[in-house]
Amino acid sequence: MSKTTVISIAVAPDTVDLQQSSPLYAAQPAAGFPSPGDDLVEQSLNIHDLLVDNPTSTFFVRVSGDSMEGARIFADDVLVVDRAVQARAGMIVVAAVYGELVVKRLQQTKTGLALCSEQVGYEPILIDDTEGCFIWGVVTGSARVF
Amino acid sequence: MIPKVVLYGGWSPAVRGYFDSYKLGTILDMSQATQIALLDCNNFFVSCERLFRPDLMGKPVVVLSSNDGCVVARSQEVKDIGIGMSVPYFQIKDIVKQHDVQIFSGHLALYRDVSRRVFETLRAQVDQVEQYSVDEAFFVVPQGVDSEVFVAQVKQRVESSVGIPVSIGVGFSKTQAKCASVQAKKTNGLHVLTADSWSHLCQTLDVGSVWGVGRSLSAVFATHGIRTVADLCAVPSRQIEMLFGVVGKRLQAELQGVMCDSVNQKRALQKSLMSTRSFASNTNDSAVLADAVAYHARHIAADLRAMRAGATTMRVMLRASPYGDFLLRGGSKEVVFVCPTSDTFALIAVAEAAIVDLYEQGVPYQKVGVSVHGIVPLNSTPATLFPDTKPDMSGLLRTLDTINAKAGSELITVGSRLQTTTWQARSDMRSPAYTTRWSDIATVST
Repeated sequence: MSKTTVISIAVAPDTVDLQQSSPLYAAQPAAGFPSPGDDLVEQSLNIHDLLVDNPTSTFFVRVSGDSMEGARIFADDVLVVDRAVQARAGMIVVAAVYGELVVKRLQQTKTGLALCSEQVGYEPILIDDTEGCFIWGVVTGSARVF
Repeated sequence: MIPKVVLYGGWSPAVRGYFDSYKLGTILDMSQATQIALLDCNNFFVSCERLFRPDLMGKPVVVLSSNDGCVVARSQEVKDIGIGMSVPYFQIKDIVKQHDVQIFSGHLALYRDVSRRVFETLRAQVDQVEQYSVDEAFFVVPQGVDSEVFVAQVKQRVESSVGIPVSIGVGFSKTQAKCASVQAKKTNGLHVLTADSWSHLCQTLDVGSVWGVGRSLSAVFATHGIRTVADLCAVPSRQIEMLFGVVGKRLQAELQGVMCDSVNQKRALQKSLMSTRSFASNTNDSAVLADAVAYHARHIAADLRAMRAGATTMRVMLRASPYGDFLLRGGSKEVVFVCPTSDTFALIAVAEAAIVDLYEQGVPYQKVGVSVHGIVPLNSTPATLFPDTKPDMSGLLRTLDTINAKAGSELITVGSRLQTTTWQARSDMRSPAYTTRWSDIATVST
């Protein structure tokens, strides 16, 4: 609802035709103390900024299965995968294993680098066959909608 | 009368020729010259399809044009089988079955997104980049770096960050870079030309394989005894200019390592756009034709708006079935706009009027298409005294574009007579929109 402010002005009757004057003063005049934050214009938070460091090399994938629940990765989670990050032992990675994309933790074992699950009852997958297995990207975050 | 070209042997007359015309003798010291690189994605559409499908590595993969008509991209395995480019799909159906070739319908949203990632990764590493097509870009190799090491690093970074294999060729001009990239594809994906290696390669390089030399030009070259690049370089530049004009002279100079066409970072606008599609089956239904032509006009208008550009001419094409007696019964109609426009309403109105004009009762039509030409940026168009298109609808249309982009399809559209798209051939073998739609992202198992 618009507020009407009545402002009385003294005018010489012969200079202004009051019948035809436009309602110039009908609107609320901007007055009072200006907001002190007006010069600090900030955007509202965008979840993308929190999850994605390198937009051009970051892809999203969806999880199926339960073998990474120990790393708090659950079925239907969206994983943030950054291909520009160099994979190292200890990181959670997306790897291509004989044509299938899987998410596992990359770990150094006595026999070499292996893809390990975070759930009992899953055998580690040794990455010794460079033809069939390669690291696709490094998981840098996850998102879950309840 | 074409003057006869006297051919000199060897390298020195070419050098003499280009001293004469360019007075740029110092450039002969190639170590100081600017090096131009061409980055080219290998079998780009196929590589995009493989990005989230590692099971397709090493398997034959073909990508078809948007109406599943022709082959537009082939994996190396498919090239080895002997399937050609642009071959109609129905012709290769048997070979496809025999070799278990994986077929995909072209998925432009995916390819565009991956392409953007490739070139943004490149731009993060070099300053001067000119994107030349959806899968190629020229860039200037920075001064004072070891070019072999530098381009190897660029290649490695693009391949690991985006996951698309690329080849890089380096020369002293765009034309040389293009030749080098062809060589790169034959080896490990990198080829850096030196003055020595180039003069060696020249001797065997067919002039017809050079960028910008078509079949007809190479035929003319052949009549003058010019078969290899070395032959062309050896002709005195003044004679080349007499025979082939400034275009020939520039081509020769570029091949000699003199940069005539510099790396232009400003993205030039496309000169024309085209949207065309065959009907699922021939039709003479004028409502179907109107609906189809409106579909093409809408898509072109949206593309123009995305480019912030307008078109000055529009051509509507109607093609009849080549069988029976109808081959010559189609036609096309061109309309010129006084003001360049990207207004969907204006384009549809013109397109539908053109179809009404072209339509003949009883002719089985096979295909309809719309193309626009004379594309200019809208912010630089002069004001017109008597505009022929409606006042600015950009606010409404921009809102429409935003909603449709979010929906991933034409959720809201300008009304047309039919509300179905049954006339469209379907793209049945399209891959998921892995990078542009949340419902389509790839699944990884744990």
